[in-house]
Amino acid sequence: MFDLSPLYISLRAATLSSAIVFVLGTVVARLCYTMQERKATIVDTILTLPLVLPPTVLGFFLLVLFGKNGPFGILLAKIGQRGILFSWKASIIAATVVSFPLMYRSALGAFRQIDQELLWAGRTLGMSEWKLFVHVMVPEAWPGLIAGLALSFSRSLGEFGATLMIAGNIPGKTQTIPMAIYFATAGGDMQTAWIWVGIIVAISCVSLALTTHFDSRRKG
Amino acid sequence: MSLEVSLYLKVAPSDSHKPFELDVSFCVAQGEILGLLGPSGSGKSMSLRCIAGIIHPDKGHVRLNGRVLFDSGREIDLPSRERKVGYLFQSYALFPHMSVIKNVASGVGRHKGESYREWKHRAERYSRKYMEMLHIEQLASRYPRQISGGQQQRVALARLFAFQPEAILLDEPFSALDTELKDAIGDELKKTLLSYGCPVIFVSHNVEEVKRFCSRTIRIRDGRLESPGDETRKGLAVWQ
Repeated sequence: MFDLSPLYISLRAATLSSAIVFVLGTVVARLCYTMQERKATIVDTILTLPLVLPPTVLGFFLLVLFGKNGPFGILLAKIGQRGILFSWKASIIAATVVSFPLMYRSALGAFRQIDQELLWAGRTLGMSEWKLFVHVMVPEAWPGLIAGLALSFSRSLGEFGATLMIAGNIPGKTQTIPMAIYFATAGGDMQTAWIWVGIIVAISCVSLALTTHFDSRRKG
Repeated sequence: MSLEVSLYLKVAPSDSHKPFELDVSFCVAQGEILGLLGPSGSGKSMSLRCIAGIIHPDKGHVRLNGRVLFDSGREIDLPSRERKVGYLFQSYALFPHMSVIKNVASGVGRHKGESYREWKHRAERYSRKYMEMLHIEQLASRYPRQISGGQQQRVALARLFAFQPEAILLDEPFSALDTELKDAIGDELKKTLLSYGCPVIFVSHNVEEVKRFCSRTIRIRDGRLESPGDETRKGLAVWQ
Protein backbone atom coordinates (compact mmCIF):
# COMPACT_ATOMS: atom_id res chain seq x y z
CA MET A 1 0.00 0.00 0.00
CA PHE A 2 1.45 3.33 -1.07
CA ASP A 3 1.71 5.79 1.86
CA LEU A 4 0.02 9.07 0.93
CA SER A 5 0.71 10.83 4.24
CA PRO A 6 3.52 13.07 2.81
CA LEU A 7 0.95 14.61 0.45
CA TYR A 8 -1.33 15.50 3.32
CA ILE A 9 1.53 16.78 5.49
CA SER A 10 2.96 18.89 2.67
CA LEU A 11 -0.38 20.40 1.68
CA ARG A 12 -1.24 21.17 5.29
CA ALA A 13 2.10 22.88 5.89
CA ALA A 14 1.97 24.82 2.61
CA THR A 15 -1.67 25.91 2.98
CA LEU A 16 -1.44 27.01 6.61
CA SER A 17 1.92 28.71 6.21
CA SER A 18 0.88 30.60 3.07
CA ALA A 19 -2.31 31.75 4.80
CA ILE A 20 -0.24 33.08 7.73
CA VAL A 21 2.35 34.60 5.43
CA PHE A 22 -0.29 36.25 3.20
CA VAL A 23 -1.76 38.23 6.10
CA LEU A 24 1.52 38.83 7.92
CA GLY A 25 3.49 39.76 4.79
CA THR A 26 0.81 42.19 3.61
CA VAL A 27 0.50 43.92 6.98
CA VAL A 28 4.26 44.14 7.54
CA ALA A 29 4.73 45.48 3.99
CA ARG A 30 2.11 48.14 4.72
CA LEU A 31 3.98 49.15 7.89
CA CYS A 32 7.30 49.34 6.04
CA TYR A 33 5.66 51.31 3.24
CA THR A 34 5.29 54.43 5.40
CA MET A 35 8.54 54.02 7.37
CA GLN A 36 11.33 56.59 7.06
CA GLU A 37 13.86 55.64 4.42
CA ARG A 38 16.75 54.75 6.70
CA LYS A 39 14.65 52.71 9.12
CA ALA A 40 12.95 50.97 6.19
CA THR A 41 16.30 49.91 4.72
CA ILE A 42 17.34 48.24 7.97
CA VAL A 43 13.99 46.50 8.47
CA ASP A 44 13.93 45.47 4.81
CA THR A 45 17.37 43.88 5.09
CA ILE A 46 16.39 41.88 8.17
CA LEU A 47 13.09 40.72 6.68
CA THR A 48 14.67 39.69 3.37
CA LEU A 49 17.50 37.78 5.04
CA PRO A 50 15.60 34.44 5.09
CA LEU A 51 15.50 34.63 1.31
CA VAL A 52 19.26 34.69 0.88
CA LEU A 53 20.39 32.60 3.84
CA PRO A 54 20.85 28.88 3.22
CA PRO A 55 17.78 27.02 4.53
CA THR A 56 19.96 24.92 6.81
CA VAL A 57 21.27 28.09 8.47
CA LEU A 58 17.68 29.25 8.98
CA GLY A 59 16.84 25.85 10.38
CA PHE A 60 19.78 26.14 12.74
CA PHE A 61 18.57 29.53 14.02
CA LEU A 62 15.05 28.19 14.44
CA LEU A 63 16.41 25.19 16.32
CA VAL A 64 18.20 27.53 18.72
CA LEU A 65 15.23 29.90 19.09
CA PHE A 66 12.58 27.23 19.55
CA GLY A 67 14.74 24.79 21.51
CA LYS A 68 14.15 23.98 25.17
CA ASN A 69 16.46 26.82 26.27
CA GLY A 70 15.69 29.21 23.40
CA PRO A 71 13.59 32.34 24.03
CA PHE A 72 10.60 31.11 22.00
CA GLY A 73 10.94 27.62 23.41
CA ILE A 74 10.71 28.96 26.97
CA LEU A 75 7.81 31.22 26.03
CA LEU A 76 5.89 28.38 24.40
CA ALA A 77 6.57 26.08 27.35
CA LYS A 78 4.93 28.69 29.59
CA ILE A 79 1.68 28.54 27.58
CA GLY A 80 1.76 24.76 27.62
CA GLN A 81 3.24 24.19 24.16
CA ARG A 82 6.10 21.85 24.92
CA GLY A 83 8.04 19.92 22.32
CA ILE A 84 7.05 21.91 19.28
CA LEU A 85 10.25 20.86 17.50
CA PHE A 86 10.00 17.69 15.39
CA SER A 87 6.20 17.90 15.38
CA TRP A 88 3.92 18.89 12.48
CA LYS A 89 3.84 22.43 13.86
CA ALA A 90 7.59 22.74 13.28
CA SER A 91 7.15 22.09 9.57
CA ILE A 92 4.66 24.98 9.45
CA ILE A 93 7.10 27.29 11.27
CA ALA A 94 9.87 26.38 8.83
CA ALA A 95 7.65 26.91 5.78
CA THR A 96 6.37 30.24 7.16
CA VAL A 97 9.82 31.68 7.86
CA VAL A 98 11.24 30.55 4.53
CA SER A 99 8.35 31.88 2.41
CA PHE A 100 7.71 35.12 4.32
CA PRO A 101 10.21 37.29 2.37
CA LEU A 102 8.61 36.32 -0.95
CA MET A 103 5.18 37.52 0.19
CA TYR A 104 6.53 40.58 1.95
CA ARG A 105 8.57 41.71 -1.05
CA SER A 106 5.76 41.13 -3.53
CA ALA A 107 3.35 43.10 -1.34
CA LEU A 108 5.77 45.97 -0.76
CA GLY A 109 6.54 46.17 -4.49
CA ALA A 110 2.83 46.21 -5.29
CA PHE A 111 2.13 48.94 -2.73
CA ARG A 112 4.99 51.08 -4.04
CA GLN A 113 3.47 50.97 -7.53
CA ILE A 114 0.19 52.49 -6.40
CA ASP A 115 -0.35 55.99 -7.75
CA GLN A 116 0.32 58.41 -4.89
CA GLU A 117 -2.44 60.71 -6.09
CA LEU A 118 -5.01 57.98 -5.42
CA LEU A 119 -3.89 57.81 -1.81
CA TRP A 120 -3.89 61.57 -1.42
CA ALA A 121 -7.33 61.75 -3.02
CA GLY A 122 -8.51 59.28 -0.38
CA ARG A 123 -6.93 61.24 2.44
CA THR A 124 -8.33 64.59 1.33
CA LEU A 125 -11.74 62.88 1.16
CA GLY A 126 -11.43 62.13 4.84
CA MET A 127 -10.60 58.43 4.60
CA SER A 128 -8.62 56.98 7.52
CA GLU A 129 -5.38 55.13 6.82
CA TRP A 130 -7.13 51.87 7.68
CA LYS A 131 -10.02 52.53 5.29
CA LEU A 132 -7.51 53.53 2.64
CA PHE A 133 -5.59 50.29 3.18
CA VAL A 134 -8.69 48.08 2.93
CA HIS A 135 -10.58 49.92 0.19
CA VAL A 136 -7.81 51.33 -1.98
CA MET A 137 -4.38 49.82 -1.33
CA VAL A 138 -5.28 46.14 -1.10
CA PRO A 139 -7.58 46.14 -4.18
CA GLU A 140 -5.02 48.14 -6.14
CA ALA A 141 -2.18 45.82 -5.14
CA TRP A 142 -4.28 42.65 -5.49
CA PRO A 143 -2.47 41.11 -8.51
CA GLY A 144 0.85 41.59 -6.73
CA LEU A 145 -0.52 40.10 -3.52
CA ILE A 146 -1.85 37.03 -5.36
CA ALA A 147 1.48 36.60 -7.13
CA GLY A 148 3.19 36.75 -3.74
CA LEU A 149 0.79 34.15 -2.39
CA ALA A 150 1.50 31.79 -5.28
CA LEU A 151 5.25 32.20 -4.81
CA SER A 152 4.99 31.60 -1.06
CA PHE A 153 2.82 28.52 -1.56
CA SER A 154 5.25 27.00 -4.05
CA ARG A 155 8.21 27.82 -1.84
CA SER A 156 6.52 26.23 1.19
CA LEU A 157 5.64 23.14 -0.79
CA GLY A 158 9.26 22.68 -1.83
CA GLU A 159 10.73 23.50 1.58
CA PHE A 160 13.45 21.00 2.47
CA GLY A 161 16.47 22.30 4.39
CA ALA A 162 14.95 24.19 7.30
CA THR A 163 12.16 21.62 7.64
CA LEU A 164 14.67 18.78 7.90
CA MET A 165 16.56 20.71 10.58
CA ILE A 166 13.61 21.43 12.88
CA ALA A 167 10.88 18.95 11.90
CA GLY A 168 12.98 16.02 10.81
CA ASN A 169 11.89 13.14 8.64
CA ILE A 170 9.37 11.18 10.67
CA PRO A 171 7.17 9.15 8.29
CA GLY A 172 3.48 9.84 8.86
CA LYS A 173 4.26 12.81 11.11
CA THR A 174 6.68 15.27 9.57
CA GLN A 175 7.72 13.62 6.32
CA THR A 176 6.80 16.03 3.53
CA ILE A 177 6.90 15.27 -0.21
CA PRO A 178 10.42 16.70 -0.81
CA MET A 179 11.59 14.66 2.17
CA ALA A 180 9.95 11.52 0.78
CA ILE A 181 11.61 12.13 -2.60
CA TYR A 182 15.04 12.56 -1.05
CA PHE A 183 14.86 9.49 1.15
CA ALA A 184 13.24 7.33 -1.52
CA THR A 185 16.00 8.28 -3.97
CA ALA A 186 18.71 7.76 -1.36
CA GLY A 187 17.25 4.33 -0.63
CA GLY A 188 17.14 3.42 -4.34
CA ASP A 189 13.32 3.33 -4.46
CA MET A 190 13.04 5.14 -7.80
CA GLN A 191 9.39 4.22 -8.32
CA THR A 192 8.23 6.02 -5.17
CA ALA A 193 10.47 8.98 -6.00
CA TRP A 194 8.94 9.23 -9.49
CA ILE A 195 5.40 9.22 -8.11
CA TRP A 196 6.15 12.06 -5.70
CA VAL A 197 8.00 14.06 -8.33
CA GLY A 198 4.95 13.74 -10.58
CA ILE A 199 2.58 14.83 -7.82
CA ILE A 200 4.62 17.91 -6.90
CA VAL A 201 4.96 18.97 -10.54
CA ALA A 202 1.17 18.60 -10.93
CA ILE A 203 0.40 20.65 -7.81
CA SER A 204 2.80 23.40 -8.92
CA CYS A 205 1.20 23.56 -12.37
CA VAL A 206 -2.29 23.78 -10.87
CA SER A 207 -1.34 26.57 -8.47
CA LEU A 208 0.35 28.49 -11.28
CA ALA A 209 -2.69 28.05 -13.55
CA LEU A 210 -5.04 29.20 -10.79
CA THR A 211 -2.98 32.34 -10.25
CA THR A 212 -3.00 33.20 -13.93
CA HIS A 213 -6.73 32.54 -14.05
CA PHE A 214 -7.45 34.88 -11.12
CA ASP A 215 -5.25 37.54 -12.58
CA SER A 216 -6.87 37.48 -16.02
CA ARG A 217 -10.38 37.41 -14.55
CA ARG A 218 -9.59 40.51 -12.56
CA LYS A 219 -8.34 42.37 -15.57
CA GLY A 220 -11.50 41.30 -17.34
CA MET B 1 -16.16 83.11 6.15
CA SER B 2 -13.26 82.44 3.82
CA LEU B 3 -9.99 80.74 3.11
CA GLU B 4 -6.89 82.63 4.26
CA VAL B 5 -3.55 81.40 3.04
CA SER B 6 0.02 82.42 3.77
CA LEU B 7 2.75 80.02 2.78
CA TYR B 8 6.51 79.94 2.87
CA LEU B 9 8.39 76.86 1.74
CA LYS B 10 11.99 76.36 0.70
CA VAL B 11 12.81 73.31 -1.39
CA ALA B 12 16.47 72.30 -1.38
CA PRO B 13 18.00 71.66 -4.80
CA SER B 14 18.38 68.06 -5.94
CA ASP B 15 19.59 66.27 -9.05
CA SER B 16 16.31 66.85 -10.83
CA HIS B 17 15.41 70.42 -9.87
CA LYS B 18 16.85 73.80 -8.95
CA PRO B 19 16.30 75.28 -5.48
CA PHE B 20 12.80 76.69 -5.19
CA GLU B 21 11.20 79.14 -2.83
CA LEU B 22 7.45 79.49 -2.46
CA ASP B 23 6.26 82.65 -0.76
CA VAL B 24 2.60 83.52 -1.29
CA SER B 25 -0.33 84.97 0.65
CA PHE B 26 -3.90 85.39 -0.50
CA CYS B 27 -7.52 85.15 0.57
CA VAL B 28 -10.51 83.56 -1.10
CA ALA B 29 -13.99 84.62 -0.06
CA GLN B 30 -17.04 82.42 0.32
CA GLY B 31 -18.57 81.80 -3.10
CA GLU B 32 -15.58 83.24 -4.93
CA ILE B 33 -13.58 81.44 -7.61
CA LEU B 34 -10.00 82.62 -7.41
CA GLY B 35 -7.84 81.96 -10.45
CA LEU B 36 -4.20 81.15 -9.74
CA LEU B 37 -2.45 81.73 -13.04
CA GLY B 38 1.15 80.88 -13.81
CA PRO B 39 3.52 78.86 -15.97
CA SER B 40 4.40 75.30 -15.01
CA GLY B 41 6.87 75.10 -12.15
CA SER B 42 5.73 78.42 -10.73
CA GLY B 43 4.37 76.89 -7.53
CA LYS B 44 0.63 76.76 -8.31
CA SER B 45 0.13 73.09 -7.59
CA MET B 46 2.54 73.29 -4.68
CA SER B 47 0.36 75.98 -3.08
CA LEU B 48 -2.71 73.78 -3.47
CA ARG B 49 -0.84 70.84 -1.98
CA CYS B 50 0.11 72.93 1.03
CA ILE B 51 -3.51 73.94 1.57
CA ALA B 52 -4.67 70.32 1.31
CA GLY B 53 -1.99 69.12 3.73
CA ILE B 54 -0.16 66.97 1.18
CA ILE B 55 3.05 68.91 1.63
CA HIS B 56 3.99 70.90 4.69
CA PRO B 57 5.21 74.49 4.41
CA ASP B 58 8.03 75.74 6.63
CA LYS B 59 6.18 78.81 7.75
CA GLY B 60 2.79 80.46 7.41
CA HIS B 61 -0.83 79.67 8.13
CA VAL B 62 -3.94 78.29 6.47
CA ARG B 63 -7.31 79.19 7.97
CA LEU B 64 -10.66 78.03 6.69
CA ASN B 65 -13.90 79.47 8.04
CA GLY B 66 -12.23 80.30 11.34
CA ARG B 67 -10.65 76.85 11.67
CA VAL B 68 -6.86 76.73 11.76
CA LEU B 69 -5.63 74.05 9.36
CA PHE B 70 -1.99 75.00 9.58
CA ASP B 71 -0.08 77.49 11.71
CA SER B 72 3.69 77.22 12.01
CA GLY B 73 3.75 79.62 14.97
CA ARG B 74 1.30 77.53 16.98
CA GLU B 75 2.62 74.21 15.65
CA ILE B 76 -0.76 73.25 14.26
CA ASP B 77 -0.75 70.99 11.21
CA LEU B 78 -4.00 69.10 10.67
CA PRO B 79 -3.75 65.91 8.59
CA SER B 80 -5.41 66.06 5.16
CA ARG B 81 -8.20 63.82 6.37
CA GLU B 82 -9.40 66.40 8.90
CA ARG B 83 -9.14 69.51 6.72
CA LYS B 84 -12.37 69.20 4.73
CA VAL B 85 -10.63 70.62 1.69
CA GLY B 86 -11.73 69.01 -1.57
CA TYR B 87 -8.94 68.53 -4.11
CA LEU B 88 -9.62 67.83 -7.78
CA PHE B 89 -6.46 66.23 -9.12
CA GLN B 90 -5.31 66.77 -12.67
CA SER B 91 -5.64 63.03 -13.27
CA TYR B 92 -8.98 63.03 -11.33
CA ALA B 93 -7.58 60.18 -9.19
CA LEU B 94 -10.73 58.05 -9.36
CA PHE B 95 -10.43 54.70 -7.59
CA PRO B 96 -10.11 52.29 -10.56
CA HIS B 97 -11.65 49.21 -8.92
CA MET B 98 -14.71 51.06 -7.57
CA SER B 99 -17.84 51.67 -9.61
CA VAL B 100 -18.82 55.27 -10.28
CA ILE B 101 -21.36 55.36 -7.45
CA LYS B 102 -18.89 53.80 -4.99
CA ASN B 103 -16.34 56.41 -6.02
CA VAL B 104 -18.81 59.22 -5.42
CA ALA B 105 -19.87 57.76 -2.06
CA SER B 106 -16.30 57.08 -0.89
CA GLY B 107 -15.90 60.51 0.67
CA VAL B 108 -19.13 60.44 2.70
CA GLY B 109 -17.88 59.90 6.23
CA ARG B 110 -19.80 58.28 9.05
CA HIS B 111 -21.21 60.66 11.63
CA LYS B 112 -20.85 59.99 15.34
CA GLY B 113 -23.69 57.85 16.65
CA GLU B 114 -24.90 56.97 13.16
CA SER B 115 -25.65 53.30 12.52
CA TYR B 116 -24.01 51.52 9.60
CA ARG B 117 -27.31 51.36 7.69
CA GLU B 118 -28.15 55.03 8.24
CA TRP B 119 -24.68 55.95 7.03
CA LYS B 120 -24.92 53.81 3.88
CA HIS B 121 -28.37 55.29 3.18
CA ARG B 122 -27.12 58.83 3.53
CA ALA B 123 -24.06 58.09 1.36
CA GLU B 124 -26.35 56.72 -1.35
CA ARG B 125 -28.68 59.74 -1.12
CA TYR B 126 -25.83 62.26 -1.34
CA SER B 127 -24.22 60.39 -4.21
CA ARG B 128 -27.47 60.22 -6.20
CA LYS B 129 -28.09 63.92 -5.61
CA TYR B 130 -24.76 65.09 -6.96
CA MET B 131 -24.66 62.53 -9.75
CA GLU B 132 -28.01 63.85 -10.92
CA MET B 133 -26.77 67.41 -10.64
CA LEU B 134 -23.81 66.59 -12.88
CA HIS B 135 -25.86 64.35 -15.22
CA ILE B 136 -23.94 61.15 -14.62
CA GLU B 137 -26.63 59.12 -12.82
CA GLN B 138 -26.81 56.69 -15.76
CA LEU B 139 -23.12 55.79 -15.21
CA ALA B 140 -23.61 54.59 -11.61
CA SER B 141 -22.50 50.99 -12.13
CA ARG B 142 -19.73 51.65 -14.68
CA TYR B 143 -16.04 51.68 -13.82
CA PRO B 144 -13.74 54.67 -14.38
CA ARG B 145 -11.86 53.00 -17.26
CA GLN B 146 -15.17 52.49 -19.09
CA ILE B 147 -16.13 56.18 -19.26
CA SER B 148 -14.75 59.19 -21.14
CA GLY B 149 -12.46 61.91 -19.78
CA GLY B 150 -15.28 64.42 -19.47
CA GLN B 151 -17.40 61.91 -17.59
CA GLN B 152 -14.48 61.05 -15.32
CA GLN B 153 -14.17 64.71 -14.44
CA ARG B 154 -17.85 64.87 -13.50
CA VAL B 155 -17.48 61.78 -11.34
CA ALA B 156 -14.52 63.35 -9.56
CA LEU B 157 -16.55 66.53 -8.99
CA ALA B 158 -19.60 64.61 -7.76
CA ARG B 159 -17.27 62.81 -5.35
CA LEU B 160 -16.00 66.18 -4.12
CA PHE B 161 -19.48 67.61 -3.58
CA ALA B 162 -20.77 64.46 -1.85
CA PHE B 163 -17.84 64.82 0.55
CA GLN B 164 -19.22 68.29 1.45
CA PRO B 165 -15.92 70.15 1.54
CA GLU B 166 -15.58 73.63 2.99
CA ALA B 167 -13.21 74.67 0.22
CA ILE B 168 -12.50 73.30 -3.26
CA LEU B 169 -9.15 73.22 -5.04
CA LEU B 170 -9.12 72.59 -8.79
CA ASP B 171 -5.74 71.63 -10.23
CA GLU B 172 -5.78 72.23 -14.00
CA PRO B 173 -9.24 70.67 -14.23
CA PHE B 174 -9.47 71.05 -18.01
CA SER B 175 -6.01 69.84 -18.97
CA ALA B 176 -7.23 66.32 -19.78
CA LEU B 177 -10.19 67.53 -21.89
CA ASP B 178 -10.29 68.66 -25.51
CA THR B 179 -11.30 72.25 -26.35
CA GLU B 180 -14.88 71.49 -27.36
CA LEU B 181 -15.60 69.58 -24.20
CA LYS B 182 -13.91 72.28 -22.18
CA ASP B 183 -16.28 74.91 -23.55
CA ALA B 184 -19.30 72.70 -22.99
CA ILE B 185 -18.42 71.84 -19.42
CA GLY B 186 -16.90 75.14 -18.31
CA ASP B 187 -20.03 77.29 -17.89
CA GLU B 188 -21.99 74.55 -16.25
CA LEU B 189 -19.19 73.73 -13.84
CA LYS B 190 -18.90 77.40 -12.93
CA LYS B 191 -22.62 77.56 -12.18
CA THR B 192 -22.46 74.41 -10.08
CA LEU B 193 -19.49 75.71 -8.09
CA LEU B 194 -21.09 79.10 -7.48
CA SER B 195 -24.32 77.49 -6.31
CA TYR B 196 -22.37 75.24 -3.92
CA GLY B 197 -20.86 78.44 -2.56
CA CYS B 198 -17.54 77.73 -0.87
CA PRO B 199 -14.12 79.27 -1.54
CA VAL B 200 -12.72 77.81 -4.76
CA ILE B 201 -9.16 78.03 -6.12
CA PHE B 202 -8.71 77.33 -9.79
CA VAL B 203 -5.16 76.63 -10.91
CA SER B 204 -4.26 76.97 -14.59
CA HIS B 205 -1.58 78.09 -17.01
CA ASN B 206 -4.18 79.17 -19.57
CA VAL B 207 -5.19 82.88 -19.48
CA GLU B 208 -8.40 82.36 -21.49
CA GLU B 209 -9.59 79.62 -19.20
CA VAL B 210 -8.98 81.65 -16.08
CA LYS B 211 -10.65 84.77 -17.51
CA ARG B 212 -13.80 82.86 -18.38
CA PHE B 213 -14.00 80.84 -15.27
CA CYS B 214 -12.86 82.94 -12.33
CA SER B 215 -14.22 85.86 -10.34
CA ARG B 216 -10.71 87.16 -9.67
CA THR B 217 -7.23 86.26 -10.85
CA ILE B 218 -3.79 86.41 -9.31
CA ARG B 219 -0.60 85.61 -11.19
CA ILE B 220 2.22 83.54 -9.77
CA ARG B 221 5.78 83.30 -11.06
CA ASP B 222 8.82 81.56 -9.53
CA GLY B 223 6.98 80.99 -6.28
CA ARG B 224 5.89 84.60 -5.81
CA LEU B 225 2.71 86.50 -6.55
CA GLU B 226 3.01 89.39 -8.95
CA SER B 227 2.17 92.56 -7.01
CA PRO B 228 1.24 90.49 -3.95
CA GLY B 229 0.36 93.49 -1.76
CA ASP B 230 -2.49 94.64 -3.96
CA GLU B 231 -3.93 91.20 -4.36
CA THR B 232 -3.94 90.43 -0.67
CA ARG B 233 -5.71 93.71 0.03
CA LYS B 234 -8.27 93.07 -2.67
CA GLY B 235 -8.84 89.60 -1.29
CA LEU B 236 -9.35 90.94 2.20
CA ALA B 237 -11.76 93.58 0.92
CA VAL B 238 -14.00 90.92 -0.54
CA TRP B 239 -13.69 88.85 2.58
CA GLN B 240 -14.62 91.70 4.91
